[in-house]
Order: sequence, then structure tokens, then C-alpha cells
Amino acid sequence: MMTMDEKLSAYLDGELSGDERVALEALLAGDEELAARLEALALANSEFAQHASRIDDMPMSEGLARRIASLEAAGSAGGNVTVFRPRQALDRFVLEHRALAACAAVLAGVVVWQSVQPGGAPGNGIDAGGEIYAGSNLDRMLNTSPSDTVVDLGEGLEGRVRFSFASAEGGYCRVADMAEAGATSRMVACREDNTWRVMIAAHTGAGNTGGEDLYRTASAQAAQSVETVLDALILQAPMGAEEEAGLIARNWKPD
Amino acid sequence: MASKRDTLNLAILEAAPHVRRFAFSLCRNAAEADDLVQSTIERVLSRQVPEEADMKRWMFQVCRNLWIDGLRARTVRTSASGEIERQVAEPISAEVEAGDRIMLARTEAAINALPDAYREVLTLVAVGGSSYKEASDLLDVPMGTVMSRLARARAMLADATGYAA
Repeated sequence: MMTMDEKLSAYLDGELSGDERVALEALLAGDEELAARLEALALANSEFAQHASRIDDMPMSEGLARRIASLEAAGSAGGNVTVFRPRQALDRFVLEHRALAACAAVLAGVVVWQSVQPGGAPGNGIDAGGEIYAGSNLDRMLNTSPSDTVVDLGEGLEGRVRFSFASAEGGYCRVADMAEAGATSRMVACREDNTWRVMIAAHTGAGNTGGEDLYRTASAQAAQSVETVLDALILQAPMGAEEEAGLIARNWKPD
Repeated sequence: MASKRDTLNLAILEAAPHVRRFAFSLCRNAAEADDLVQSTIERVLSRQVPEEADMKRWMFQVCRNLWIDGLRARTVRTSASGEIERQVAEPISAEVEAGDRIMLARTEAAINALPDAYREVLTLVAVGGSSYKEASDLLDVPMGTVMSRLARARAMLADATGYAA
């Protein structure tokens, strides 16, 4: 014979039979005290699960981070998150938080945004260190395009700067999305020595071999890895349109 | 074409963030949880994984077994059988008696006060998403025991945190 707490608990887990569920719902509808008890148990359950997810925000131990990195490296051909020789502190930060991006870096067969991958065509390309070729379409977009403006980057690729921000190291960075048929990419690029350097790029889209669930998971994880890098770089809220327009006009030189 | 090893690595990497939450829920200590996840990965890589196995669930199982091994080694585990005495949450210091911090501290204290056998089954179901049948198989206890431990765990948390009126 189940106690009432057991029934309520099983109800929360979807473990009651159809008849039991209907009977309990009838009771709940007429008994506020019972409904309050259900709510209390649900809240406790939710708090417990939420507590476990707190570790997502905690840096990984060095040992685990290195283990994860070695697994990523072992399957990195065609990976969909690329970290471009970031600054040492950022490198360490990203390494320690790699759980967020753990699954994103090893999707075999993802080939998207080819033209702006390291070693890609100079038209939009970036070199292996993440430096964007001066005069490329991508460089022009980052130099001159206001946020939220769609830019034709050629070869079927569209770009849009999402926002600009001042970095914690005193420079300026921009977050941009690129899209081509069935594939999207997001990157964070920072201005260094009069050139733009990509700090991280996450690619999601057609071509992975893992089916829809894997695609969704990988997409979310890839987006999270970008967020992780953003957290490390961003000093304050994204800049407003006026400040951004001023920087564009001054070719990204401060006042 | 991805090799079997690549597929295994990918599955492990996909499951790793979930296993980390799972381990943290069991250990309640980030460093210990990370050690546990690392050991889990090593164990999975060194042993044969059944072809039909769901990697996340498989890793939960390995992780849970390693955690139990660790507890046994330290002989701190509350016996999973027999009556478990209700533990009282530690009092909260005056310094944290403010706003959300009170709630967080209460929740944390209540979770810490859960007997291991209760936390284990709640972790499997609430964090790992296991069904009662899966939890019953994994823990090698009857379904009724899973059900009663879950209900008592939630009730203890609700009562200790003040959710229950």
C-alpha cells in the first residue's frame, strides 16, 4: 500500500498507472492541502536537480579537463568548435570549462562555413591563428557593418554582427553569425593590432553523422562554448548603437 | 567514416557533462566529482561497452559503482538496507541568514543531510532521468523500495527547506 507521499512522488515521475493518475488528480482538484504537498515535493525535486547543475559553472579539475581535451583531440577531425590560439588566461579558462563544450568538438564530418575555416579561401578566410585576412569580406563586415545588419559575404554566405563590446583587456570585440544553406556559425572576433582575430568559432549544421538528437545537443553545446569565451572576455554590457557607430567611424580606435 | 574508437570518444564526450552533474549530486564536492568522472571515463575506455548500451546510462552506472566503491573504502556509507534514521540538517550560520542565500544554504544543508541511499536513488531519477525500473535494476532493490526512498528523500528535502507548509 503506497503512502500519499509515495503516490505524489510517483505522480511527479510519471510512474503512476493511468487509473492511479486519474484518481490522484481528482483528489488533488478538491484538496488544497494535498495540492500544496505535491507542490512542495515538486519544488524539493527541482531544487535537488538544480543543485546538481551548479557544477556546470564550476571550473573542471585540471586532470579531468586534460582527459576531456585528449578525447576531443583524438576525434577532432572536422570538429565544430575551433578555439584560435587564445590568450593564455583565456586558454586556461576555456580548458577548465570544457565540460560545456565537451561534445561539440568531435563531431566527425561537419564541414560548414568552409570559406572562413582556417586555411579557407582568402575571400572570407582566416589564417590558422585566427587572424582574419585584411580586406576580406569578413574583415570588411567587422570593420564597417553596424550590428543587426545582414551582409552578403559572397559564395552564398550571409553574415550579421550581433553586437559589439569592450573587452576586459581594453580592446573591442564583436560577435557575429554566418549562415549558408543549412549551416550556421557563430564567432567572437577581437580587434588586435589593427586586425580582427577570431577567438572562438562554433559551427553547427548539415553534415553531421549523429542524427537529430546529436545535432541539437551539439548545437547547444557549441553555443555554450561561445558563451563561455564571451564570459571570459566581456567587461560590461554590449555597447549601444551610438558608441558602436563612433568606433566604426574611427576605424575602431578609441576616442 | 568514424572509427569505433571515435564513436566511443564522442559518446563519452556527449555524456560527460551529464555524468559530471550526476557525480556532483552523489559527492556534493566538485573536486571529488571531477575525480569520479575522470575515473568513470578511464573505466569505460578500458572495458568493453555493450553495443546496445546507452552511453549516458552506462556511465551513470559505472560512476555510481565507483562512488559506492569509494564509500566502501572509506566505510562511511550508510547501509542501504534497514531503517535509516532521519538526519537533521546542520544549523545555518547567522552570516548567511539573508535572502536567497538562506534558501540556498538550507537546500544545500538538506541535500547534505540526506542519507546516501536516498540521495543515490534521487540522483538516478531526478538527475539521471532513470525510470523506477531502471533504478530498481541498477540498485538491485525492489521497485517499492525505490518508490519509498524517493518519496522520503523528497519529503525530507521539502520539510527541511521549509517548502512543506
